[in-house]
Amino acid sequence: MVELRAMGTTVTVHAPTLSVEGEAAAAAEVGALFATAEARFSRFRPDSELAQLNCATGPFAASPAMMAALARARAYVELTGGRFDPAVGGAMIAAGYDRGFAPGALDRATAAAAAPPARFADVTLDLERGLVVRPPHVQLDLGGMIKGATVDLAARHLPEIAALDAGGDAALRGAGPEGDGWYVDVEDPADPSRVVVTLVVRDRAVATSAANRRRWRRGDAWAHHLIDPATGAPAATDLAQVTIVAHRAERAEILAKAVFIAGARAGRALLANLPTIGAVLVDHRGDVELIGPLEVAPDA
Amino acid sequence: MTTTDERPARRGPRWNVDGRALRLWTISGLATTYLVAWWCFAPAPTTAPAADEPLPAAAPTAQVAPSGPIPPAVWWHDLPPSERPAIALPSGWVVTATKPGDGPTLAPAPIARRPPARRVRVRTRSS
Repeated sequence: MVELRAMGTTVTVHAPTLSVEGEAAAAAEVGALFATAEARFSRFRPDSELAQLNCATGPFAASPAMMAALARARAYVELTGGRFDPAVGGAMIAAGYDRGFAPGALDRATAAAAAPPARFADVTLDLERGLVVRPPHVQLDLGGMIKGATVDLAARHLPEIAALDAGGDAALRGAGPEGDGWYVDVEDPADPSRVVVTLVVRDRAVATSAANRRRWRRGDAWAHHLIDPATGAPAATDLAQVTIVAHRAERAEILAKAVFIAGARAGRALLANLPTIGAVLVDHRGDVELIGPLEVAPDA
Repeated sequence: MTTTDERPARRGPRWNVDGRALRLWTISGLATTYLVAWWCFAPAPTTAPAADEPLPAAAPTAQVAPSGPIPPAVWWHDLPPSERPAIALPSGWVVTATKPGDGPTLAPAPIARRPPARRVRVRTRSS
């Protein structure tokens, strides 16, 4: 097992069929892919392609990788009924998330400012010519999908039995080192030392969204990074945490955020149209609800 | 002369046995009768194989060593290298030495393996 730092989190590579040296080489390749993605899609690096796009005053010639990501983002906006929307970049800044996150680094004594409404539908994508036209009031933030997308991309470079975990967004290839599945502990959002349920996962990805870690003080209130596109403010929801099991980490990451923002009732309705998706909902009372195709570990 | 019938002298009983001999003969007879009856009617011993039990396969015929002088035995590694016969090793085996100074011996080829680890668990959480 090899650990490295990327995208502000710990990335773990576990490839039990490889030698120690082979696993280290695979982890180095994973690290390079994360570094490339971060250099292109980071909102906080002024030289990143996304930062340049957010500063562009006219049609922006995007790279094929950027165009592909934006095209997928458009499809996810439709899939989630607008609960995922990469046009929340301005709202993120207004809420205080204007630099790389570290505990306490974003705390402010003043309350958050109101964010101008923005929708990704206002952005024009010319897929044939590779051009993006962004209205001045729209700031794009792809942080809600790029980590999962990079996990998917990097996992394809690993052996058939391997796990790639990027801060809780994980791709789990094959049936695990012992052939009976990968055991995935779903953390208790109220007490990170505890586990609410352990899932058995085979050839799937998992992702979890909650507001218990990436949060900061704004005046007398807490703010967090899960912005509701409908309000432009950190989502106020009856859910404390959402975990999604899907075929791809990108889809799991986006659906986890969308269901979290939607809340339990609307989240169930969204998941009802996605029968291949499994979900673990934890509300603020600590009640756990399992939805869809999930396998719970026998010793859980 | 007086004629008298000379009758032969009266003989005693042909089987002149006393009571002790009679008891011995009686006991011997009964014992013989019992043995003959037991031999004829006693059940077969239980250790005999059942009729439908398959018979054990016949042992392979032992190879009889040819007569003559026994060829001298020698360790393979004691032979000069030029006289050592070629040996086809099983896959994954090598000729090695158990310790410095020992002659070569056969041993499985070393395979780099990692020690068994406890079950790997992935933890999913918000990051």
